Amino acid sequence: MLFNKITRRNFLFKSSSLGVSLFIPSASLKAFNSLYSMSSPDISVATGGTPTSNTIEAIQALGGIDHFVRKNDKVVIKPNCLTRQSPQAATTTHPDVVETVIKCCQRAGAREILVLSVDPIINFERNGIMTAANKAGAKVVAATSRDQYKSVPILRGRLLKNAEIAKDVLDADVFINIPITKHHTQAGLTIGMKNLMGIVWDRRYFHTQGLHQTIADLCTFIKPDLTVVDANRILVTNGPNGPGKIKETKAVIAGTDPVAIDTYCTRYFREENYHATHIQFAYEMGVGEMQLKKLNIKEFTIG
Amino acid sequence: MKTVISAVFIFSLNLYVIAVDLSDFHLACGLLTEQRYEEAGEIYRKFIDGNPDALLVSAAKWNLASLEMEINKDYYQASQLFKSIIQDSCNVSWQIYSYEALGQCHEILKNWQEAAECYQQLFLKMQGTSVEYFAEQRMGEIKRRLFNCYQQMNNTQSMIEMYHAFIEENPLSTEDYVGLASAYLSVKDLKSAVTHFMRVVEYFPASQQASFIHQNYKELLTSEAKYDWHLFEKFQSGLNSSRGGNYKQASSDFEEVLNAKHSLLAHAVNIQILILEFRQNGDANLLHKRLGNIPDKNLRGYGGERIDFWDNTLRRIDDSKRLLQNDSTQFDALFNLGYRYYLTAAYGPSVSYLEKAKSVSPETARVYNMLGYAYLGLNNFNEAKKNFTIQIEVDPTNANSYDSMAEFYYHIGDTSAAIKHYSKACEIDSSFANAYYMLGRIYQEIDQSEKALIHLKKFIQLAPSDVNIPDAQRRLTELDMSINKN
Repeated sequence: MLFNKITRRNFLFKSSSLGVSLFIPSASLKAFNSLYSMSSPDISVATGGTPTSNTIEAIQALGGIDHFVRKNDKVVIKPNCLTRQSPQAATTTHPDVVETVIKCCQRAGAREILVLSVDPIINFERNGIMTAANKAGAKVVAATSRDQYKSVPILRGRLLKNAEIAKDVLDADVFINIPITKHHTQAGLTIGMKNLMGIVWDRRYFHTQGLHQTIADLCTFIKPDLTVVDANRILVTNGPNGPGKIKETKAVIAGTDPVAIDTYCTRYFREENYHATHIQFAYEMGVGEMQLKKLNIKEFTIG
Repeated sequence: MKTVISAVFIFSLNLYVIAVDLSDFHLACGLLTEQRYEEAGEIYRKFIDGNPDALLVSAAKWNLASLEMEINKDYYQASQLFKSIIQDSCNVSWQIYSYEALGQCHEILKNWQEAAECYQQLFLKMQGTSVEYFAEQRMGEIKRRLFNCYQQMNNTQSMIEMYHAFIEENPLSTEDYVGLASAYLSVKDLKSAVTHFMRVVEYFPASQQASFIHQNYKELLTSEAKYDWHLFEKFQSGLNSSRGGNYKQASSDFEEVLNAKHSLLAHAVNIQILILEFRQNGDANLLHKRLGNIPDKNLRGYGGERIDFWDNTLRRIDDSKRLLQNDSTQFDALFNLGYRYYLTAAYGPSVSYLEKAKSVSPETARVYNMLGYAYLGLNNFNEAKKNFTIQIEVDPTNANSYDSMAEFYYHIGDTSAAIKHYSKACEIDSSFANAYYMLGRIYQEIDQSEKALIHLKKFIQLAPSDVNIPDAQRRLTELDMSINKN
């Protein structure tokens, strides 16, 4: 669901459940909701394969890309593109993960696929994401100019009351967040929610008001349709720029609940015990679920 | 078997209830983002009433309160919801953020006492927690809001306590020293007032606040502290000469202060000597290094010069120079250098880069504008006039072209020519606020009070948040008094 709005796709269902609930016994709706949510896992975790195979299998386990992308959709993909370093540094989303997600979207019949981030184009060129995107047939958008953004009110925010968000994201039919998971000096960890700062123009405001809370505030407005986390190699110290200690975890985690996904990924940092308070804040605000035992998590190893 | 089936049924039903409750919440959130506010409000209310103990009730109340506050502008309703979160939620972060929002509502409703209590509670709640609820800047803003409440309530004692806290956090804040001294004055504590005024005069003599104290409290400090103003005035003379391009006079004045071995003023003088050198040679990199090495920076700063201004400007000058190394004809870099040097009152280097920018792009009006001002800084009136004249030729439909020329005439004392050009600026653009302000000032100076009143009022109407508003209001009061007298 893009920026937590009632999109073209789910508008009919939600509107009818609002208006028609007067006529249909509520138990029927409840049953429908419950069955719908039980049909696929909330989180899928593919481990042991390559970045490519892990990505394919993690998405497949959620019901496949067709569950998220339809024919003629405009898809915006947001990788972590913070540095110019190669994938070896584990500071940016692995190009193979980017390429795989693009190819999946193309197979689903997407009309236009953009790989977008606020970072300068040279980052895309050097860290391999540009090559991956071009190879797979997506367009790279370095959203480095203010006119590429639009100001929106963040009514549910506790500190952030409005933000300038990339227009392409606001206009997209489907928004897919593909962060890397790594340590972050200020935010504790950067996984999915923190990665969304890369579609915002006025990021300085986040740092001057309270980084954790403003990240959570942003997530009350923007909710990616799908999050695919690159946890193939994890920078566990000296993030976000590195160099630091790297763990070989060979995993890709996919799901739709940004809080649940981030909560799941904190397990990779148990020894370090970093405080990513924004996850807790987002949970309190109803952005998603933090209690993983309530969720259906499908973990599997690729042989 | 029957029991098992019933248990499964009841369990399933509970699951369904939870699922629907949450979907109501999320539906309302979606409607809120879709700007379907009425529907969102209705569903949030339904969710709150139906599930008073649910985990997300605080979130629903918050969203509803935001709706009341931001969209409906119903601050009373919003405040009731924030109060309810504080009372009902056990969650510390909901309480902290609700105290802040409730404080804001009370401020808007001018309930200063209640607002102050909210902020006090917020600080109490935050004591001992390691969670970063607010960044330093936001915390500073909340403290200033609490301070404003005390000010509105005329609670001088609390204001004094807060001024001390501000100064402890930032010992370079000359505004807070002056505020503290003024607060002490209002409770007739002359000794404390003088101590804090003196601190500004001696530690930060280059600041605006030092000039303000000199202008308004000179007699007080003379009588209460037996303060000898001679060296301070010599320093001020040097400062004005340096900023006005009269470097020889500045150097001589600063030397005289240094020779007097006044240990406190010496810090500020040494910095001014470095700045004086920079104004002549334009070496931003050298000045930046030297300022970085000065002793006592945390206690005395740059002697009243704004640290952020100098650090930022010198860095930008350096950046632009680096750009020119690749291409010495880059207009933006040349113009920026001229502009930044002008801001630091280094008029020589400013003119030099602006002349180069002019040769690269002679059709650009803003170069002539900046050049006019830079030459004015050097007291080279012929060149200043020449450039302002060309600016009018290049950009005759821009009110600012006439405003700049008017400023030139005002600077050299040709009042009637200044009036003519400011009037022309108003004629071209009836919303050009600065021209009205300047006309108001000039008419007041030449005792045409009625005209001065009209122009100053128009200025206030056009630019209510302009930096010159306090001065315009002060002049209006003076004019009112003078008109009533007559």
